[in-house]
Amino acid sequence: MEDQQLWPDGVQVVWLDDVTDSQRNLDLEWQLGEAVARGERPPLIRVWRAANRPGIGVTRRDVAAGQGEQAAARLRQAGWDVVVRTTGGTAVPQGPGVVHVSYLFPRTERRATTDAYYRLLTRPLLAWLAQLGLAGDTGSVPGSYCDGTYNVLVGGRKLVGTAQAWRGGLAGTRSNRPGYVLAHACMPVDVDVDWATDLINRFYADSGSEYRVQRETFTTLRQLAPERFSGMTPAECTAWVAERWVEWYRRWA
Amino acid sequence: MSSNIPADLKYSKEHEWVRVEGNRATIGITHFAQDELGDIVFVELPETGQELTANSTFGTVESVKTVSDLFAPVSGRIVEVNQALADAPEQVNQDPYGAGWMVVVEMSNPGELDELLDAAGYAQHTAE
Repeated sequence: MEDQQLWPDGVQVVWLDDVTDSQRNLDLEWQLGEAVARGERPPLIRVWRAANRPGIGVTRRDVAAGQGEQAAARLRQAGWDVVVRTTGGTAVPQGPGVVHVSYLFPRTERRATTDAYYRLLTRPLLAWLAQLGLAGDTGSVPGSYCDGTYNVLVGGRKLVGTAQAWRGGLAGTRSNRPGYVLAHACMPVDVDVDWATDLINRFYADSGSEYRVQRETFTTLRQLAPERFSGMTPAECTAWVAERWVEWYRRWA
Repeated sequence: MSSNIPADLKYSKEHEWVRVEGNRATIGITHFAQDELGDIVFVELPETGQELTANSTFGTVESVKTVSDLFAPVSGRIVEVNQALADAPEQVNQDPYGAGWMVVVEMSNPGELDELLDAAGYAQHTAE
């Protein structure tokens, strides 16, 4: 398959996070990416948990627009965590019930497209869900948080959000500069959907934006497979998934 | 030359174009680049007065699919920034060589222009 030609040799799968410090947790993305770009680390698949403090992850566009910076500050003052990520899109829920996987692959001289990297990202996730008995698909769900063509959906609801950042030149173009492609997926394993919806909508309302998300458009892994997580805290649910993802991606890579 | 690669501009291999008027260089991204990126929703640019170094990143462009780096094709001081892109980033898609321009730089080393491609060279570069 043509996409598979973009899969680099020697991919290393690591579980690397700092759940006590959301900014450090996020900064690890570009620090690791730059190390990959310089050839100091092999191509990486990083499995990581969001930091323990509940909140949202917003984009640079979110905070650049209107009253975005002030809206973020007000949420922080109210005790929520607000982190600014380097990938695009819109706000996503963060906190102890959220798990991420990031591909940090060096730029390639091959013809490469964002679509191809999204397919490389979503294919193993769909396969992993299938072995849990969950039939998934990719597509857009208007009204869902950070909507995009390559959401992973189960039962028509968004379960996994995806995003990319290309460093070392424009996306979709060949580059011989040191750089990397970050392809990232974020899955709420155990998040209160009502709370997440309200917090995201509060951020945009405070920003002066008319953008809103609809609670019925997304779901969590725990809602889809409640028996697997019986009696577990959100942090335990997330650790359970992270552990299995590391095993899964090691086999996949 | 194709209208998608105007003959009077210079081009970087990173798909930025440069229009030279005296010592000033207007910079944007090419039709090819905007087409590869898809619908552009945000452009993050430096402020007027900042210094650019050729081959260094000077901003980011976000499309519905991804965020990517912009590379400076020439060095110099930024004397103008296209503020209209803050409210209308889609102009980069709609008119990449016109209303979609990004910054104007007062060049500190015009000799760097010799490193850039002409339209024919850029056409060949995108065809490879």
